[in-house]
Amino acid sequence: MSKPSTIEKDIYLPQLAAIEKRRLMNATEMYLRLKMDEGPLDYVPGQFVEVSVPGVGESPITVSSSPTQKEYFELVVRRIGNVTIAIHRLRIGDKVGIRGPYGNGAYPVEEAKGRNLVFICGGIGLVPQRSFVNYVLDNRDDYGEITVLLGTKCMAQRFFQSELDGWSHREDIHFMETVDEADDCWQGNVGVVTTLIPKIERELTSALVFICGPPVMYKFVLLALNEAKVPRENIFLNLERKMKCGVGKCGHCQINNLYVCIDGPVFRYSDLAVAPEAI
Amino acid sequence: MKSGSRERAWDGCLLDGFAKVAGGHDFRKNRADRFRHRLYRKGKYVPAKIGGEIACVGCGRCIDACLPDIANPVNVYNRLVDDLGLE
Ligand SMILES: Cc1cc2nc3c(=O)[nH]c(=O)nc-3n(C[C@H](O)[C@H](O)[C@H](O)COP(=O)(O)OP(=O)(O)OC[C@H]3O[C@@H](n4cnc5c(N)ncnc54)[C@H](O)[C@@H]3O)c2cc1C
Ligand code: FES
Repeated sequence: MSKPSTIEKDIYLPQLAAIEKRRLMNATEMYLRLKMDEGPLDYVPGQFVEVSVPGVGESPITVSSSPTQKEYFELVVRRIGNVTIAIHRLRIGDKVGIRGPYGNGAYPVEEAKGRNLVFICGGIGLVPQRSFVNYVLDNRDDYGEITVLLGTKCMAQRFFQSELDGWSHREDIHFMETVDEADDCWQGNVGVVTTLIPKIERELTSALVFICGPPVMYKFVLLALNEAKVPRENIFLNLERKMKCGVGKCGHCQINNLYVCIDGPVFRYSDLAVAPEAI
Repeated sequence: MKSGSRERAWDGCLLDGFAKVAGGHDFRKNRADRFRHRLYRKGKYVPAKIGGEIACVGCGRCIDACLPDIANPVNVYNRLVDDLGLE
């Protein structure tokens, strides 16, 4: 048998990473800190990796840490099916496979320089946004005002509490939070995340706006931003789709002709006019 | 590891759940949407991306297997061109 004639890197071959820390942050969300066996992961905020557990399978997971943090990278994994349950069972020192980072459409870190930024997050949508928020905080002088809106279903589902407390006490970031369902222990805003949007009308006028959350959220947030007259060029959507290969082969992630794994996962709203499947 | 096995699973863009994410949302729930996507993918999206006229190898298996006889891509594309004047 002849040998394959190319020595190109196999795109399906994962690299190994070890789990350095793990912490269950609420009933379903697991925080993981990982370190690549060979060299640091070289990524931009918004990019994702394919995480594999041998014998189980592979899942696309967004990197939640900022690349300003070079020693390790962080993931947040929601327990929902085969692979994610297997990831939750892993212990410190266990190895996972990592492919990537993937996604040419990451956050526009350069274009955003000098601009005011607004992040609108729903639930686990905080995970990718956190990467860019912390990147901006680590390069604070390069960016304008930052506003972060977060909506969570109920208090028990909040995560990264101490980090969010940190944000809410800083002078150089405007952080507002709401929960859908109030309970006795919650003192803050109540209602879905869109109820916070009228409160930041001034901030919205010139800002770049980044949205990430569950599929139902986009339509309502976009309506509210339309009312606030935010131009479509200034709106960026982090879109989740079913993924398998992560490299533009299988077509699972397609939104019309766009591939979320290659062209996304962050899209400028004005570029999505040709893709009716997007919202 | 001394041994292993190769596992294969059915997959296809016409199957229910092809675009369903773990959170439960299905982005192409209707059969008609999946059918449209399949024809656009073979006839437009993939050729525009990697070149060539059509992303179909012409094996004809979909034509044999389709009971309501709607899958024949030749008929569909010809109709799109003849009846609707699409390119
Ligand atoms: C770009 C991108 C970034 C992402 N980032 C993150 C992230 O940062 N964090 C995160 O947590 N997730 C993220 N996700 C989502 C994550 O990839 C999925 O949740 C994960 O792949 C689910 O895989 P699984 O094997 O655990 O679930 P699967 O086993 O595939 O299960 C999916 C669904 O099917 C159901 N199911 C499973 N097995 C069966 C069965 N035998 N019969 C019937 N139903 C079944 C499950 O209940 C579940 O609802 C991201 C996705 C994308 C595309
Ligand atoms: S995940 Fe396979 S093409 Fe995007």
